Amino acid sequence: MRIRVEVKYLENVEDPEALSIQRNLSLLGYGNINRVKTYRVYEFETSLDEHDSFEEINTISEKILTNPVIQEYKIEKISD
Amino acid sequence: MYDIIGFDDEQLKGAGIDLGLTLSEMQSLREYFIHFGRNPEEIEIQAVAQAWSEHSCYKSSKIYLKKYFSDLKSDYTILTMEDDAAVVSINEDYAYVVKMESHNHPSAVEPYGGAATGVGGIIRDVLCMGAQPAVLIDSLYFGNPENSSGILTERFIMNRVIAGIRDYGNRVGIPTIAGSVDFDESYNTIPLVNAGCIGIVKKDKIVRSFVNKVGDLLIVCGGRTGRDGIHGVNFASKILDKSNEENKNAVQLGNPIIKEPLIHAVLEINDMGIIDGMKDLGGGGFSSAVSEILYAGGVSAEIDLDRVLLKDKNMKSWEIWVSESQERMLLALSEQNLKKAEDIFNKWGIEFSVIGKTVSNENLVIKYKNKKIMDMNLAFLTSGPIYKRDFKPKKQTKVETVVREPENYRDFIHEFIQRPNICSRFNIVRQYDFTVRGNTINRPFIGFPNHETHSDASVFKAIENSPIGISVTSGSREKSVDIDPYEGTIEVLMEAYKNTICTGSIPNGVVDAMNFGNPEVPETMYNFIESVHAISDFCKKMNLPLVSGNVSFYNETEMREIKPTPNILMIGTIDDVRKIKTPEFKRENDPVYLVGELIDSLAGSEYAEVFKSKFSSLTKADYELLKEIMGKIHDGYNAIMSMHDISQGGLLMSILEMSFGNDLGIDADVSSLEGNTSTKLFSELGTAMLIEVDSNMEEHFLKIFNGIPLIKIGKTLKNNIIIKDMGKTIISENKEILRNLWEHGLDKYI
Repeated sequence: MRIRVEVKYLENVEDPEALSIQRNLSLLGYGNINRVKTYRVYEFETSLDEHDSFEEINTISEKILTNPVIQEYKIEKISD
Repeated sequence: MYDIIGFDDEQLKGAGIDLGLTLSEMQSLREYFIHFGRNPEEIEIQAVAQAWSEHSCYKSSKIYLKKYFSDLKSDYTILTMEDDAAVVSINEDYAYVVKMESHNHPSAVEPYGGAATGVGGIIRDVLCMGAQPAVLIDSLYFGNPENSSGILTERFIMNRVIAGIRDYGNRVGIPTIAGSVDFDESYNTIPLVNAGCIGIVKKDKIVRSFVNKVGDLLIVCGGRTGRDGIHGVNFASKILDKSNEENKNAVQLGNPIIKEPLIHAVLEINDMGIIDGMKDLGGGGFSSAVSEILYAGGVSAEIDLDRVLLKDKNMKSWEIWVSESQERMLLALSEQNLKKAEDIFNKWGIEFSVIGKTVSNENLVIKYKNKKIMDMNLAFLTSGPIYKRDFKPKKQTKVETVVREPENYRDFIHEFIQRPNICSRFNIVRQYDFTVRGNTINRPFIGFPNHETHSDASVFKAIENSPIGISVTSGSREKSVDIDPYEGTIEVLMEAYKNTICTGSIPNGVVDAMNFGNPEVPETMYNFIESVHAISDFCKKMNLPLVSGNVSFYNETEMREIKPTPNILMIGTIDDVRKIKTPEFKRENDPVYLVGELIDSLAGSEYAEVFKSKFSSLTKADYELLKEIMGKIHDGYNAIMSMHDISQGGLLMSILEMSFGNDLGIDADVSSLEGNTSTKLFSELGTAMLIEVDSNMEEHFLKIFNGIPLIKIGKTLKNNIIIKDMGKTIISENKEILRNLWEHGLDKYI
C-alpha cells in the first residue's frame, strides 16, 4: 500500500522559505510571481491494508510529522 | 466596542477576562475614561491590555526587583536594568551588551517557531543598543523525553526547539556557543527556552532605548506587520490551555534571511551616528515599543498608522498596533538624516516606513484613515499596575532521607552516565554552528578533535585587535531550587562562578532569567522572592553586578507548574584568550586535587533522582571561598594543567569528563573524603572543583593553595579509570567503554 502525505502551513502562518524564494525570483527578473507556497510531501509504503494504513499514517502525521498549530496535512492513496 | 464608562463591575469583570485584565485594572481604566467623558476606542483598550500584562509591565515582580536588584552596579557597568539590554565596559573603547529572555509559552505551542523567534528577538535586543551581535546562548528545559501525554510529545517539542535554534542561529550567522539542557518531569508539555545574546559595541556608538528630541521621525524597518503574532504578550501571561484557539495567531516561524541584512543596515546607519533612539519590536509590538521609547525620553508622538507597511491589507487598526510580527526595528532620527538612512536601507534591500513624529505632549496620538483613534496619556498607559502579592513558604514535611547504595557500582555507573541529564550534549549542540564569525576560542566541546568532552564555559574573542576574551556560561539547578529556593539559587550561581573560573576567566556580570509558575499562588511567589534575594546577596558578597534580567511567570498547565527555575547567565573576562584553561587531562602521572568543599549530601542530585530520594533541605555553602580559590588559581596559574567544576553528576562525572577529552584516565582513591561512597561520588553541592596539577610544580601549587581545603584524589594515567574507596574498587575500566555510553545517551531521542 502506498500513501502520500502532503503537509502545508495553515493560511495565517508565514512561510519564510517561500518568501525568500519569491523575493529572489523577483531579483532574478521574474516579477510576475505574486505568491509562492512550499509544501512538504511524504510517500509511505506499508504492509497494511488500506484502512489500517490510513489509520497508522494518520497517527504518524499527527504525532510526528506536523504540529496542528501551524500545519495541516492531507493523506491520499497512491494508485499505481 | 466596549461601553466601559457605562459598565457595572460585573460587566467590567467579564470584559476584563477577554483582555487578560483584572477587575481592579478595568476599574482604573473606567475611571480614566469617565474623567475624559468618553468611551475608549478598541485600539486604546488593546494597547492598555498589552502594556499592563505581566509580560510587559512586570506587575508581580517589579517591587522585588527594585528592592533587591537596584544597587547591584559596579564601576565598570555602563547601563544596567535600564534599557533593552545591559551595557558593560570591556576596555577603554569597547563594551559588551547582554540580555537573556524566555520564550517559553510560544515554544510550548509551536516549538520550532517559538524557539527560533526567541533567538531572533534576543538578537534584536542587543542590536538595538547599537551592538554587533556576537554570540548566542540557549538554556533549554524539557520534560521526560519518554512522555507523550500532551498534544505534542516531549520528543517532538525537544527536537523542534533544537531545530528552531539551529535554523535561526545558523542562518543568521551568529554562533550559538553556550547554554544548557536539563530534563525534568515538571517541564512535561511546558518547555523552557531561555535565549541569550552578547554583542560588542564601541562605547561612542551606544544607542539608548529612548528618544528625547522633539521633531524626530519614528521609523520602522525590516519585516512587514501582519496578523501573525497578535496577542503573544497576553498569551504569555495566561495559563496554557489545550483548547486555546486564539493561540494560533500568536505563532510565527521567524525569518533569519530578513534579519541578517537588517543587522547590517542598522549597524551601518548607527556608524554614521545619526540614530537618536532605538528599540526592537518584540512583545506587544508597536504598542509596547513606541510607548516605551517615548515615555522613557519624556516626549510623545503623533503616529500615522496608514503608513505602516502591512502583510495583510485587511488588518484592523488595533491589530496593526499590537501585532508582534518578527524582524522589525524602531528607530528615531531627525528629518535631515532620513536620506542617509534611506540610502543604506535601499542598499541592503530593507523595507522601511516613517510612521510618525515626536512631539512635546503628554498624550500619544494615533491617526488612521483620517480619524484620531487614540489619544491617551502616556504615563497612564505605560506605567501599569504594581502588585505586592501574597507569599508563603511551601509546607515541607521534614524527610529523613535514607540514601541507598547501588548493588553493583559498575552496572550502576554504566546506566547513570547514559541518563539524559548526565550524558553528552553532542546530538544537540553539534547541530548548532558554534564557530561562525571565527571568534569562538573555547568551544562548547573541547579536547581531541571529534573526541571531545564538555567544556566549563565557552570563551570568545571579543575585540578584533585585542586578545581579550569573554567567557559565557548559563544554566540552572531546578531540583535544588525546588528543595530550597534560596540555597538552591546560590548553588546555581556557584556553578556559574565555578564554570567561569575553571576557564581562567574572572566573573564580570550576572544576567538572570527567572522562570516560575503562577505568581498569584503564594508559594510560587515565595520561591521567586527567595530566589531574587539569593541572587542579590550573592552578587553583593562576590562584588558582581547584576546587569540585566527577565521574569517569566505562569509557566504552568491547569494541573501543575514547573519547578522554580532561575536561569543564570554569567559573563567573565580573560585578558588573553591564549591563556584559557580547559577541563581535559593533559598528561600522564599528574596529581589531581579536589579543591574547595564538597558538601556531604545528595540533595538535588541526579543520583537522588535515580533512587527517587526526597530531601527537605539544602546545606548552606560557604560560597565566598570561591573568591579565594579564584585568587589562588591566578597565583598558581602555571601549575594548573586542567580544571573542571563538580556539578551535575558529582565527582564521578567530573573525573569522567576530564578523561573523555583525551586518551587519559585516572587512578583515584576517594577514601579521604567525608561521607559514604555514594555521597562522595555523586554529591553536586558546594564549592568543589578538580585541578590537574603539573607534576613538576606540585610543591609550588601546594604552597600557593595553602589554606584552601585540598584533597589529593589520585593521578592521571593512560586510558583507564580506576576509582577506589576504603579499599574497595568502585570501578576499573577502559575509559573508552564509558565514553561510548556517555556519548550516545541521547541517541534514542534525537
